[in-house]
Order: sequence, then C-alpha cells, then structure tokens
Amino acid sequence: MKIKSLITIFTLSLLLILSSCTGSGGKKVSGTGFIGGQEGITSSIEIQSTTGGNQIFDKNIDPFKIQINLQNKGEDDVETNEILVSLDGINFNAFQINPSTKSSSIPLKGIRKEAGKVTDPTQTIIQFDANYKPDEAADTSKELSANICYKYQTKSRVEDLCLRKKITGPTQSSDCKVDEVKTAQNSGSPFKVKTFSERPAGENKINIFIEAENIGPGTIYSKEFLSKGSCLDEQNEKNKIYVKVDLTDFENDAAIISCSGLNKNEGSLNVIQNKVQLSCDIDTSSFQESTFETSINVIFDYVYKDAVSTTLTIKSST
Amino acid sequence: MKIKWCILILLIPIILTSCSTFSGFIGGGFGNFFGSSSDGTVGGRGVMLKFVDAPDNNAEFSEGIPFTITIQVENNVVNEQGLNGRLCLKDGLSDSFGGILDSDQCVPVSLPTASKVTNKINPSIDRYDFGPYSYRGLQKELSLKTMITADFSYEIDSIAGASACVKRKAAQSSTIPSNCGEKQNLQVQQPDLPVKITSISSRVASKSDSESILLLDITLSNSHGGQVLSSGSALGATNNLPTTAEIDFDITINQQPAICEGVSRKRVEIRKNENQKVIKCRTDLLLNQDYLEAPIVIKMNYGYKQSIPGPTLILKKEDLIA
Repeated sequence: MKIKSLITIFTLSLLLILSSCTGSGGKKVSGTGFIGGQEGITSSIEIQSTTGGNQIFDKNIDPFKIQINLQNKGEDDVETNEILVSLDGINFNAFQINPSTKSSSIPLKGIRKEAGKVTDPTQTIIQFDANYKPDEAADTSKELSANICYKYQTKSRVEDLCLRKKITGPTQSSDCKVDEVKTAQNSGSPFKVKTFSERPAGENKINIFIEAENIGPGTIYSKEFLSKGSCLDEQNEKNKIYVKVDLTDFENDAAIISCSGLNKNEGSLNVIQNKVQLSCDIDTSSFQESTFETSINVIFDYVYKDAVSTTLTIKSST
Repeated sequence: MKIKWCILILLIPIILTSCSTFSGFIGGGFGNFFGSSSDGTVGGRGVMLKFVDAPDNNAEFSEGIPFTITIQVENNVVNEQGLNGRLCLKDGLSDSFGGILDSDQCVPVSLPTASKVTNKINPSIDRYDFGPYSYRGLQKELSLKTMITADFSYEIDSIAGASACVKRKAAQSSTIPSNCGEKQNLQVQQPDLPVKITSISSRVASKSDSESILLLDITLSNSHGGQVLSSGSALGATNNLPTTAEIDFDITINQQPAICEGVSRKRVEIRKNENQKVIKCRTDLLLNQDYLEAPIVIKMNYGYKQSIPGPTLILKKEDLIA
C-alpha cells in the first residue's frame, strides 16, 4: 500500500514539473511555417562609465558610452542601415554627443527554424560617445531616452481561403465555406492580422475583410520613414503602413483583387488607433467551377518606432 | 500518512527550482526598493551665526565690569567665492555710556566655501572675538537695559537649478514624461540662502513642429528677514541702507541666455520692502529631438544684511546692586 502511494505521488509530481516548465528550447514551433511572437527588434539601454551604476561625473572629466543593445526577436530580416537610433531627452551640447543619430552597421537576420529548433535572436550594439561638460552644483539626475526606428515586414497568411467561379447557388456539403471567419497566421512581429473573414459579394465576387493591429508598445510609420535620417516623430509619416494582398496560386493578383482605398491589391493605409481595416473584392469569374482552397497572403511593410530610457546620475565633482 | 507529507514537502522545492519561469520571483525583482538616490543638497542650512560666548540674557552689569563676546559664523554653502562679509557688534546705548562704541566694532569675515564629500556638507566655521567692553556713567536711581546685536553683511553667490520638459508638437512616445510641454511648477534645487527662488512656473508655446518658446515665471523671495543689498556693496554697508538693491541675476536655459523682463545687464532691482518679485523669462528652443529636459541654471550674486539679536544686559550703579 505504501509503495503504491509513493508511486502515485511521484507520478503526480513529475507531471506537475513537466507541465509547469517551458523547457530549455524556449518557443514552441507551430505547424504553420511561422514561428510567431509579438516582437520585432527589442532594445535596451546601458551606460558604460568608469564608476558604473549609471553614474558619471560632470566638468568634462568622465568620458562614457551610451550603449543601445538591439536584438531581432521577430521573423523579418533587417538589413544594414535599416535601424536608426536617435538619442532623446537631453541636451546634446552639454553631453558633447555628435551625431545624436546612428544607424546599424550589420544586418540582423530574423529568427528561423534550424533543425527543428528556433534560432537565437541576432544582436548588435550601437554606441554613442559622451562626456558631460557643465559644472553641476550638486548631484543631479537626468532621464536619457533613445528612439529606435527599424524597417520591418509582417507576413500574414490564411491557408484556407475558399474559392470557385460561381459563388452564389447550391454547393456540396463537403465543400469549404465561402462565408466564414478564417484563421490568419502571422510572422513574428509587433503588427498582426487579428481578424480575417470571407463572404460572398456577388455572383462572381468574394469579399475579404481584414483587421490588423499594432500590438507592440511602439508606433507605426511609413516604410520610407528612415530616409528622413533620424528617428524623431513626424506627423506626416506617422500611422501609415503599406499593404499588399496576393493569392499564392495566381499570378495576376492585381487584375483579380481590388481593395478599397488601395491601387488594386496594394497601397498605403492609415493606421487609426493602432488598427487598420481593409476590405477587398476578389473577382472569381476566371476561376474553375469546382470549389477549391488556396492561400492568401497579406504583407505589411512599415517602420516601427520604439523607445527605451534610463536614469543617469551626474555626480558633482566639486 | 506522515511519509506522504514528508515526500510532498521534499518535492515542492524541486518543482519550484526546476522551473526557469519562477526565477523572477525567487532571485530578483526587489532591486528598485533599495535603489540609491541623491538628495541634491547644495548648501544645507546656508549661513548661520550664533553667540557662542556672551553674558547671559538679562545679566546685571555694574560700571567698569568687563565682558567679551564671541560670535561663530558657519558657512554651509558650496560655491565658487566662499563667504566674504563684515560682522559688526552694537548695543542700544550711546557712546557716552561706554560699552560697544558706534565706531570701529566691526571685523572682516572671510570663510572658504563649504566642502562636499559624498553628499555630506562640511561647513567652514570661524569664531570672532569682540571686547572687552565695560559701561560707565550709570546713575544710581536708574537701571538701564540694552540689547547687544550682531549685524552681519555679506556677499554671497548662489546657483539654483531646475529642468523644464519641452517636446515637439507631434511627439508621442512612451519615454516622454506625461506632463511634458504642459504648464508645470518646476522643482528647484538651491542652497538655503536668503534670496530664494520660491517657484518656477513653466509653459511652452509651439512656433512650429520643431521650434518652441519656453516661458518661465520665476518668483524670488527674501526669506530670512534681513535686507538685500546690491552686489558688491555689502562690505561697505552702513546703517543707512539704500531703498533699492541691484543684484546679479544670470539665467541660462538649455545653455543659452534667456530674455527676462526687468533684468537689465544681468541685474535685477529689488526694493527694500519687496519680499517677493516675479521675473518673466523666455527663450526659443530648436528641438532636434522628440523631447528635451531643458536645464535651467540661475546664478545670483548679492549682498545681504542680517541682524542677530544677542543677550540683553541690565546695567546698574554698583551700590544699588549691593
């Protein structure tokens, strides 16, 4: 009896251990081809000074470095110069920082699956040399921020878009449905398709409705934003995203897909309250008579602006 | 049954330590509670005077009995020039009674700046001896009361600091302080000196997306009950002080000089009975960043005369005491 009890307790405990641990491998790999995740480039800020502890001395006697650590935790590859870091919040003359904006000097590959495992995020650092010049009468604290802008892409895919030539009329019960909400898979990034629905819109017309959302802490900017040369807010470029919708099995997407507010199947959309909504019609008149399933891709191109900050203590060296 | 409980108790730590996801609770997360912060003290208690050796209050003195007085001056201000002044002693009687004569009872005071070691202020201290003094010409029928007073006139320079948050018109970021660009009452770091900045109110007007005007209302107060003197006049101060004083007032915002109403050639006028004065300053800021904590530095130099009451003496002719 005692042995039975011991075995039961041990088995239960083992189950508990296994279920509460994520394991050393980290993320689970889904069967969709995308790894997923809600992050793109993540960043942290670090002060490298002689005294450490985010402390520096005044009066031009303590040169130090402001280091921005960057990791690509999403699935898009970021090329050289496609990340801009602009320092913020402080007087650059006082800290003798020039330039206050720098770009990445190496590419950062996105995470991917290698031999069934997810690779570690690629990383880089961007450093700024600084030396605080003014004479402070007393120890003082300053909030130092860094804005990080990076070019990124989100790929979303619905694998079971249901199509046929004649949308209206009777169908087989075994056929896929042209009137239902579908599940969208997203590549790892801070912008995602949350809702995808398909419905009939005419005898030879299907309508798809897409709702996508910025689920990260940053802001979406137009894909050309990096050409400004700095990562500072600009109203004209803010909350704009480029989208392209295409069907995997068809080459003439522009001829058969027409989205409201876009030039046929691609163009720029306004991001309103961190969301975009897109309605597209697919002309099915050239499709086969019998019902079939195909994949539809929705690709978003944008610049993502994020920020990090830290508190810097300036010690008076009087 | 006891064995089951023992095994369970032994297994719980294994479960907890085997999971990396628990490490945040066990190992860390409390650092912020014990984080260090600086208090930003500049001058602590400012300039302090006290009678350290003097007759007791209401002590009785007869003719010819000598007494001496020692006054201690303590400088708690960390600045460039240290503390320079003139310390004078007086009583309430005319020179015909002897005692502390109206003329020549002053000594120069020169104290170095206080020093600061790891946020602790070490004041510079000195003592000044006066006397001996004695009274004469007292009358049998009449006892006299006289209070001894120390007048300290000194020159002092002070630095006050604050920072105002200014942001670009379109700027929105999680790192921008929530009240940035709005009307704010700024926190001022300054030494404990007689002319105090009691408040700085800031507001921002946008000229364009990247240009702003920072407007400040700076309130100066005479907080120690003495009289403010013009810069450079304290060492020669007499009992007949002028009705206005011109003090040095130099303000920079984000390391640029600001334009201030009522400030001419970096000097501001303070009238004798004016306990508060509001100075309006402004500067244009070109923002090549989303937001800026613009440093405000106010340097002042002025003279100050303060009277410190000492003991009251009761003077009587000798045979009356007997």
